[in-house]
Amino acid sequence: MSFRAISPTPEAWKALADALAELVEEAAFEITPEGLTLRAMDPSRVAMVNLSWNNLSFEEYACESSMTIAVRVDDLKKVMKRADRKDRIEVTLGQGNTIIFRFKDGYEREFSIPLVEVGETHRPLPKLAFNAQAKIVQKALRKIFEDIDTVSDHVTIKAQEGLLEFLGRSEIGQVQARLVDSSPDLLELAVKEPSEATYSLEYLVDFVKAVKPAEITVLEFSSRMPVKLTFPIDEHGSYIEFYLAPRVE
Amino acid sequence: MPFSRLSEAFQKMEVTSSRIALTEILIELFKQTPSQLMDDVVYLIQGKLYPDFVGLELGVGEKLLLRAISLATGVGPQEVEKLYKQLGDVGKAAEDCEKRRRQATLFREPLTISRVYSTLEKVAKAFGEGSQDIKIRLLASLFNDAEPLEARYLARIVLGKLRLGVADYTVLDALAVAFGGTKEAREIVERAYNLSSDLGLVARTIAEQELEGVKGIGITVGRPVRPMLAERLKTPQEVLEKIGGEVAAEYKFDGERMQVHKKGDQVWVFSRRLENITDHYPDVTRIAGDGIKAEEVIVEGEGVAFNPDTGEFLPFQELMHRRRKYGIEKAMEEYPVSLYFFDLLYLDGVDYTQKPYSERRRKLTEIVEESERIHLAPMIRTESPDGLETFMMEAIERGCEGLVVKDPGSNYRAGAREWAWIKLKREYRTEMTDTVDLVIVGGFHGRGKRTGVYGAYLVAAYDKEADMFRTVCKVGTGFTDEDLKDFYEMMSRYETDHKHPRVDSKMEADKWFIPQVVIEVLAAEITLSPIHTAAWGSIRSGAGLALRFPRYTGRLRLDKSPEDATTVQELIEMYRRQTKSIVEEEAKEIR
Repeated sequence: MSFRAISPTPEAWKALADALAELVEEAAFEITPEGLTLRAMDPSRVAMVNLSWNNLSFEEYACESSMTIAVRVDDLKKVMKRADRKDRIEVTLGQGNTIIFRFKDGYEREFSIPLVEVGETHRPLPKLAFNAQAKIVQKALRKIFEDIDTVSDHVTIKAQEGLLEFLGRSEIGQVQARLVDSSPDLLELAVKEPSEATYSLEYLVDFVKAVKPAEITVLEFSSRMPVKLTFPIDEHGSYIEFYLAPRVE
Repeated sequence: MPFSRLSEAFQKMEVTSSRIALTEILIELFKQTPSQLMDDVVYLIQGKLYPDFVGLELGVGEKLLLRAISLATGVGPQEVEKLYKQLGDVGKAAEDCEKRRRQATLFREPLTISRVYSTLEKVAKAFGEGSQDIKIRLLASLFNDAEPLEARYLARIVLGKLRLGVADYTVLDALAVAFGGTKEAREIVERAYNLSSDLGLVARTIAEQELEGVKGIGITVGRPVRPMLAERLKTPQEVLEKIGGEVAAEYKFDGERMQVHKKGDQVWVFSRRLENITDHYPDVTRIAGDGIKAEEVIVEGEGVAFNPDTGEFLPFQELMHRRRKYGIEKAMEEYPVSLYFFDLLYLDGVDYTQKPYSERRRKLTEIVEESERIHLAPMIRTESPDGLETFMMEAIERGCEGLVVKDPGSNYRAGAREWAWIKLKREYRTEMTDTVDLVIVGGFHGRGKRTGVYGAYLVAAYDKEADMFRTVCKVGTGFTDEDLKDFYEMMSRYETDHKHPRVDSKMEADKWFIPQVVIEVLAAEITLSPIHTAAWGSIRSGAGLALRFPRYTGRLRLDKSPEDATTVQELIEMYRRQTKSIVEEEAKEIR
């Protein structure tokens, strides 16, 4: 069993740890010669993360044979908190069922955390067809969700030709955000059918905040169906996807 | 098998009040249940995961459950709580929340019985730090996929509020019909249940291996046997007539019945209601482990709390201090327990329930090594009503409830209440409300903390007519350490080397005193006694009067001469005036 992956910065690992923290207690990675993948669903089956991290994204990547390993997300998060932005990060498997994270920036630190038993086996992704697709600047989307979070714990997303709207409403008040074709934050908008659905902000806000390194987000949804957010990690085709089931209105 | 099948059956059971209809529903359900699920189904019907003796509970409170429901359905926490308050039933609240579901899920899988059971099992087994969160998540995962009706019963099971009123015997009836159909089948399943105390085991065995398999279920060390119970009669005469010939009579202690299992170094203790109470009685475990000379054994006895300073028995209520969750060590010191064994059920591969009482008792005598904390229940063999009467008075005076009289030729019938065992309790009790003043006539050397002083005193009432002092009890409770020292010194002045001629006692004291010192004593009751001499023969021939659970009030009556002490005549008067029929009293309590 040998595995080694080096990244020039810990950004992606940090983002992943943060994104998973709100969702699951344990995370299982599938490691193959082609790269790392991970699927995790929260216990109430409302949200799901799908990570595809291919070997090209790494400075160095070596994996002889495929394997599945699992770690406690808490452990991962603690380690990633210690990483500085400029650290190079090397990940290997250690003796006695551990995973080792080595940070290098001048001096070297090594964190070793235990692997845990792999729980749930690889689950399929939800099969969905989307009627609306938008490419949005990630920072803008984050702000919109946070704006709406000030009055409501859920957001209604409406898409029609040339207009993407976000709405939050409660007894406290109402927040509305509009992205039109000409908005610099809306890079693309394709609407097959006008769509409207509502989603809990509980997961959305934290998730979108976690995946900071992504510059753009692809948002896809249909009326009363789950929403899918895709965050490209880099230019090598690696990405994190987030699925969230709608609220029933 | 889908969980909905079970919740539909629950719904039918809930609205029926007829036991026959209930049995029919169960039969139908059992016939449709795959055999490997039979045990899970039977436990769930009774709102449990395991037989009681396993002692593992879900450990989920209302708050936790409501949070899980809120999380799963997306109905806000306040709204869930409001619904619960309005409806007054967690099941209905959960059902309503499912109907109002606000949050969809990515995947939906119908609940199956095995998923429900295994998830609840994980909930029960989550311990320690973070276990609350794990429990919530696990429960939420079930409510996520639950249909409204399923949620109703799921919530009730989780809080232990299923209460369908399905008695053990109804389940046995249904099993017998579903898998046998004969009267003989009913007897076989009942026997298996009585020996294993595990309905799930019986159910699964009959489904997988039919009646033949059930016949193979026997006694296993570590799994309680349902206890044999006693009938009740009022008088020694009736008891003797019922059993016929010679009987074996044992003290019936006012303690907790315990079934002690031992296998090598491991010891289990089960209550009369088959709960695993091993953790409450580390001392019992230790004493029994050392004192029972057998490799694999099941014995039955009574655990009785006693006062560690005086050796006197304490009433049952005191023993209940041991049934606590925390501070067991401290309770163990304050309320130590002595064991009085009375039966042997199993020994090194041999099922003794099939052997007569005489043989069981004989073998029990061989394997129990008596010591300070471990005894055999005192027993006599007699054919005479007087013999029983006297033995009973002795038992009561020592703090027991009465006697259990047994047919020496009878087998141990697990789970049965039959006339082979008969309880003989007193018909009357005489409550004492006033204190009495009694004269110290003898002393008993103390043990343990009381070494070097007298641990208890023999006290007497004054018989005016005969100018004699006649004993009424031994009192050791109520003395402080200081009292004991002072009394020891004070009494040395009145020591004599033989019983004083004015003292009438059948009991031998370690030290005799000239009747001089008067103390105030309060007791629970006045009882008839074959040992104490006060009022001998005046209430009943062959019996005097004695005090039960006496305690020194702390008042030394230096102002009183021995002739000013409470008289025997006064005791008789108190006994007559305050005697109450126990039957009347119990009737009053029920009302």
